[in-house]
Amino acid sequence: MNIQAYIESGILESYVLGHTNANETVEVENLAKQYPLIEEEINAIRHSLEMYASQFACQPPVELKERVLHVLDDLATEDAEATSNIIFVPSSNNSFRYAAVWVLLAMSLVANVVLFYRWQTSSDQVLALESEKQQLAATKANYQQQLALVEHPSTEKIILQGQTIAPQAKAVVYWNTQTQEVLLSTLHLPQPSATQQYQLWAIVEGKPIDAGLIDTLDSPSLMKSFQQAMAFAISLEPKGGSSTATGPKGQIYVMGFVKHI
Amino acid sequence: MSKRKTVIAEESLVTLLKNKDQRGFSILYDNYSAALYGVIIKIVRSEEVAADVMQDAFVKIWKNIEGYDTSKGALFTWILNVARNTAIDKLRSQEFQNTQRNQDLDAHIHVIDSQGGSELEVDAMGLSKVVEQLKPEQKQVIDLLYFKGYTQEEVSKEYGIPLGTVKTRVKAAITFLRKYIK
Repeated sequence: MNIQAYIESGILESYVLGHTNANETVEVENLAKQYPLIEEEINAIRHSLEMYASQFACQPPVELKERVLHVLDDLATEDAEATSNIIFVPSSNNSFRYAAVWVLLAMSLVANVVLFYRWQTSSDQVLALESEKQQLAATKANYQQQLALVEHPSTEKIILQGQTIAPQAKAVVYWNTQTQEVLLSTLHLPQPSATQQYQLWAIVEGKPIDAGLIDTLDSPSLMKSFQQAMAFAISLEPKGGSSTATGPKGQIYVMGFVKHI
Repeated sequence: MSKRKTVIAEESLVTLLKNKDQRGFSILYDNYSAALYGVIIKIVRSEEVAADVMQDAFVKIWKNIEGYDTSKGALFTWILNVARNTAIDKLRSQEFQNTQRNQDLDAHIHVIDSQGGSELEVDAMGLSKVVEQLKPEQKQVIDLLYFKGYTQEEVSKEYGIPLGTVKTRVKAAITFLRKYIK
């Protein structure tokens, strides 16, 4: 470090005159601490300039002192008021700043609440959409499975015709004789009462075998699988259905025979 | 200049000021207002504006005295900087430049008045002879830096003086002042 060159550079004069930028100021102050020669030079420059400036000293108008002290007095009063009411009443001196702080705080709080609410709503919506998406995916898989079953070359389409109790009633059974899956579809049946439920039966070797309870008339559903069957029938049973052992207790609404048998 | 000065240890004065004690500000005013006012009027060149700047400077001192650190320099250095910066800010403000355009004549009268007034003070301080001996080109550079708030680069640009020459003149002026001012 060439101290002399640094002193000659004029940066110390700039520093004393307040013309150095933040980095230069820090640099000068650090070097002044390190090198007494630099510190001495700064003090000398400062002192010379102050003395130079002092030679222009002139008395201000007499009334100016009172005016200045009066302004300071007002500041002190405002300050005292602000201190005594520091919790709720901002000082008028800083009232704008305090007001701004309160307004910003309030705005920030409102914004937080709004954003939190929106975030929560969005989050709920995302969850709902996610669940809906899963449901759709499941439905799609379901339909694909049903379509695959319906289109399968080994699938028999059996139309169950309305019996005497309900001649207009109708249902369709798709039975894949290879995979043994049974799909019940196109249910045109009178709505059962709350205590009753339709049940599908497979007639195997002349005996009705429970093929599953029908939960809904609105969409196709996979029923129990069968290796063999000669016919399918739907009866109206008490809620919960009947067992193979007892056989259908209620009346048969629709029935259809498997063709190839 | 010395008519109402109060002798007080700087440390005690600073304590009074930091406590926002009005007596402290009264003493500060008595002891330093002439020096501050002289610099302010030299910068803004109008008594009316100088009074406003003086008031603003004291308000700044009042508000920022907490931040004044005795270890960083003398109180006078600090308040002189506050006053000088306030005046230079005023000088550069648009408002000031607009009003001065219409008050050029007034300003000249004020300047003559205040310069006339200040010369007596200079004599009282025994500095005038030293300053008189300062070469005009050195005095010009110092005045531009100190009273106009120019940087050395700005002086070089505005007055077409090479930067090196500006620096040499500043150095020479300060060396000269150092030698004669104690």
